[in-house]
Amino acid sequence: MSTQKNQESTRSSPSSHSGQEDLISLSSNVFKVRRTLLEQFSRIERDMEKRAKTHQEQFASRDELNTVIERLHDFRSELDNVLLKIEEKIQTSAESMRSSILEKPESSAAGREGSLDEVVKGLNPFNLRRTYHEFSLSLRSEEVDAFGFDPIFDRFVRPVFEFLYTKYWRVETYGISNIPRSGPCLMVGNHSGSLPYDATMLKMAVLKEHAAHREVRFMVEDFLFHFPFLGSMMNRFGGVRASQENAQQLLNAQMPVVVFPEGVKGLGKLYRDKYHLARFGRGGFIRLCLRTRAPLVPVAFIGPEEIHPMLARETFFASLLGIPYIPVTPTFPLLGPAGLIPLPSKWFIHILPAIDLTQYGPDAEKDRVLVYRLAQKVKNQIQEVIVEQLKNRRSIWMG
Amino acid sequence: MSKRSRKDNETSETADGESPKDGLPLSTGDVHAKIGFTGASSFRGHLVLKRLAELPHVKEIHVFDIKAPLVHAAKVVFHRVDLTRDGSDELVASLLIKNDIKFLVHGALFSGPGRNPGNRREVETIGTFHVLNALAEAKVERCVVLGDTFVYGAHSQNPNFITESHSLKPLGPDFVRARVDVEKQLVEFAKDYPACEVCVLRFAPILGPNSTNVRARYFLVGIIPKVLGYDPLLQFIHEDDAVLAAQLAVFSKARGAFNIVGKGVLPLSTGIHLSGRFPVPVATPVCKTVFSLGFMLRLWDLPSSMVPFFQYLCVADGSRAEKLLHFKPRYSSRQALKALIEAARLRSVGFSVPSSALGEEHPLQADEGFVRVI
Repeated sequence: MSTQKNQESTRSSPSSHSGQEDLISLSSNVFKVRRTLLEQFSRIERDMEKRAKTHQEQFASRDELNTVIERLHDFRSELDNVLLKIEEKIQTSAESMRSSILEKPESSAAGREGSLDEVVKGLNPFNLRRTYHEFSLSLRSEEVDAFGFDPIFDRFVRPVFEFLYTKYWRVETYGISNIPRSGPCLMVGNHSGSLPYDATMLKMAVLKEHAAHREVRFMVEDFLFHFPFLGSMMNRFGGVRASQENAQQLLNAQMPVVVFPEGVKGLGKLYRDKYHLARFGRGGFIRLCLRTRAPLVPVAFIGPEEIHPMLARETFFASLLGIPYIPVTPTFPLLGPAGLIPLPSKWFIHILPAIDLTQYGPDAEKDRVLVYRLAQKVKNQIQEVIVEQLKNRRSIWMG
Repeated sequence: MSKRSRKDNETSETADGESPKDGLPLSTGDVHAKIGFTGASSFRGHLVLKRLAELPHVKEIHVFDIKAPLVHAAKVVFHRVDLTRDGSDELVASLLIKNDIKFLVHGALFSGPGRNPGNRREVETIGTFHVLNALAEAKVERCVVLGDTFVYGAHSQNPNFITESHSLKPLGPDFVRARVDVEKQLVEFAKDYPACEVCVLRFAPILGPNSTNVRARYFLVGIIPKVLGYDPLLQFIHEDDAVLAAQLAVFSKARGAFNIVGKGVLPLSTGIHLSGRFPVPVATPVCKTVFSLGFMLRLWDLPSSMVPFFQYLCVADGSRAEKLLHFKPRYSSRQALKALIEAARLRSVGFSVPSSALGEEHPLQADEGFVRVI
């Protein structure tokens, strides 16, 4: 394969030369290889899915297809590992070069004394306020983006979500290439799980698996957005308060946006109603797409319904706190804060082909009937995919 | 964007063809030779008055106020008028007619809640009423009002960026309701007297090396109160940018409301960390009590009515001013806050911080007869 040849060349180059320009070209090479690989894989994935849909008889069974896809995934992760190793090598060699340039005889002893000094200074109660402010400022960028997204804070919390994505919920994402590489895009999904974990997982999926590694913004329900700490934290890593105006402003800024038309009804679904989609609002998301001419991408989530199996909704104490309900799960009020840890169900995210609404004229958004019909169509499409996937699911925890 | 903005675009191309392009007033009619001015003693009014007095084609500025302005220039003529008194409209109108003034800047509005809410309400609502009566009587051709973005209020339902077409709600604290009343009067006046161009500027909180308003003092007191768990995005404008915007509005022909805001936003907590003061988070149920207690004990200058501004968004969209007034802020919100904090630190160790070099970005030609009056 040509890609392997590329790798060979990249591997051989650092040993033969050690100049800084070589390093730069090498790292850019690695980046290119990675990018082409990702593109190839997303293409293959798309191809397979298309085939599976149109001529399913070519494969003996669905399982066989799945094993092929799994093998592809394995191969991809292996390649990723190899490339990561090369990148690490580059970094270490670059650091060694830097240290060799900056090396001075007295630097080690002075550095140790300086660090000790720093520690003493930091523990001095008169400097506590200063250290507190400096520490807090080191965790955030001084200026956030227009909608409150903070890139440094995002990098700080990303490992947690990476763990949830790869290890805890073992998310499998299908059809990631249905999300356009550039320009606005409205992703519409089924909502569940008490907290918007599904939105964050979709964000991670697009960030990790999509060819363009795009940053996704997601809409958060009012009562969550104005909940102390939770709301401002979600705002810093890409959440925006759910409203028509905000979604339109985000789409006008050429960003991919995730909306959940079910809203609070979807979040607060009881366990017995799981995977039965609630009402899809009044079709506001269709009107938004018609107005902004953005493609609509339906997304089906399998798995988040089981992370907080809600047995009942408590409303009396909730009304005292000013929130719509307090969830009662098998663990939550019983085990205290430990009950808030979500259960490790197996997740699947199915991203369906984009629906192009540009065929309708500019006045289509005023057509109440059309808007509601389209909303129903999208809802039914998502519901069908969920039913289809639930048929093949053997276990909640193992998939 | 919606149809409204598209319409704005069209009008900007047709009506605003001869407007200033790079921030300099190119053509000035006779309208601007004599200027009426109210509220010249406020921080914002003081800066705008100083800037206008420096311009060569402005011959006279008549100030109507209860206190003489701090700007000592030969051009500035002071008339002692109490805008809250009955009959002040007649007095102002007679002065406007006598001096043949066709242009007025109405700046007698407060930058936030103060310690005398009764007086503030009286000056804002009744003062505006009298001024508008005088405008109608004297057939003034253009009026620029210096307002604030807090007129939108800090509500939980606010969008991330509030445009000028957002409906104003007479809800929330007293100082917001009074200002909404003022804006309603202005809209009615603009409808009833189409001969007078009414232009309302809504400034974000003005910060800078010399600002002394409530928002500036918030970041300078020793103890900074905040609401526990809430971290809204804030927006400021640098004082130089504010003056530039006012100048552009004075010499344009634009009508209607404009948001005058700085670039970008920053979270409240980042602002507090930048200021380096001691933050005191207060839980929501006791928030109002603690805020009013601190206000009573003079720990800070924020009454309990300011609490929603530390919980919810009140960020405005400045794209209309960029399109129609050609106003582009040069400082971001963070730079404005930093300018304030740095100047305060310098003052605390005995340095005097000179006022910013207004008018030096666009040096006027010597043959225009430019003399530095102050």
